[in-house]
Amino acid sequence: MEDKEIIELFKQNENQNYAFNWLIKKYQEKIYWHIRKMVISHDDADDLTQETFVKVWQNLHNFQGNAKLYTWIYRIATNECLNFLRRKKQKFFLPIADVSKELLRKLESDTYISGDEVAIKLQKVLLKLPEKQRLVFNMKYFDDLNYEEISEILGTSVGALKASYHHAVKKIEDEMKRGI
Amino acid sequence: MKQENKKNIKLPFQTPANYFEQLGQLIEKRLQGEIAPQGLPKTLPFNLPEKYFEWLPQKIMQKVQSLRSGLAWHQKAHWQWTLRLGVATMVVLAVIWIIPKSDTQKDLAELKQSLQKIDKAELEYYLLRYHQTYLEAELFGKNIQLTEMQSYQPDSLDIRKKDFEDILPDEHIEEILQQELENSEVL
Repeated sequence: MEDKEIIELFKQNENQNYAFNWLIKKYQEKIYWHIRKMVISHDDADDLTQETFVKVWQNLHNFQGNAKLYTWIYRIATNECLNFLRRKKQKFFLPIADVSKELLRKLESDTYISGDEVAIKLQKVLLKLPEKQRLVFNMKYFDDLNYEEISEILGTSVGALKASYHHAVKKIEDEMKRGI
Repeated sequence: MKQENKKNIKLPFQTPANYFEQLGQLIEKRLQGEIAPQGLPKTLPFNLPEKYFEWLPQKIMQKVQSLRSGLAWHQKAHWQWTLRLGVATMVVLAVIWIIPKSDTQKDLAELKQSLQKIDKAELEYYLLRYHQTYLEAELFGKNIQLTEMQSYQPDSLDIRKKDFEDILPDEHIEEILQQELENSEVL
């Protein structure tokens, strides 16, 4: 079902559940993986994914259609991730480096981590990047979003995104060569 | 294979093989932002609980339903809250003002009725006799020194000042006290 149809159905009260169920099934995996890459732990990603869709449900009536539906959902999910990481910093009065350390610990101890060493190594390197750079890299490299879409999601100019991605790639390559 | 510096100026620097042939492409890629990290996996090291994506929509729908059925108290229409607040305020005001007031009014009516039953002459006699006695008792019945009398406050009388003032205005009390002090000095 097309996004437009989903939104129209959702706005008719009798079909709201049906339409929303469609929407979840269509985007749940993309959103979950987007969040999971940012927060590492499955439990946190699960909570934030649910929270993201609850917010989508609460605000879909007001969705104007100026942006694409999935970039709008991505934006909500991204805000959820950034708020989650911010809360962690505030709660424990941690600087960003220590939040990264905590995420690193989760990468080593979470129940739902595979044994793919190279993939784990890449994630460890990514955790050394600033949050925004990590977001840009994830969306461009793993999610194959184009710069215009990322720009819509993050509200950053395409030029700045390209520069950010370039810096991220350079750092990753250097770190991967050096090993951790 | 490393390239040699072909210029006459001797520099100790070398470049990677085919560096200048590839530089143009590299710049173009960078401008397009399409530079890709070399030899990195696109796989993620994360696993999931079994059938996670089959259960997730159900979990989200449950959350949404509970939110809708309770339609979160804070999301109810503004006018409903205004109305509720108004009614609650009126109830509180009724408890504070109306109910006790009706009791007080009832008590007052009863008091008036019983006062009307008393003979006026008897009432006057009673008031004159007893209030004078109170004053005398306060000033002379107790062991009050003359020096203390200056600072003596009628409030300490064993009667309510309000009752006192209804019959004897303030200036009268002051006059009486002054007279009594003068008499004491003469004595």
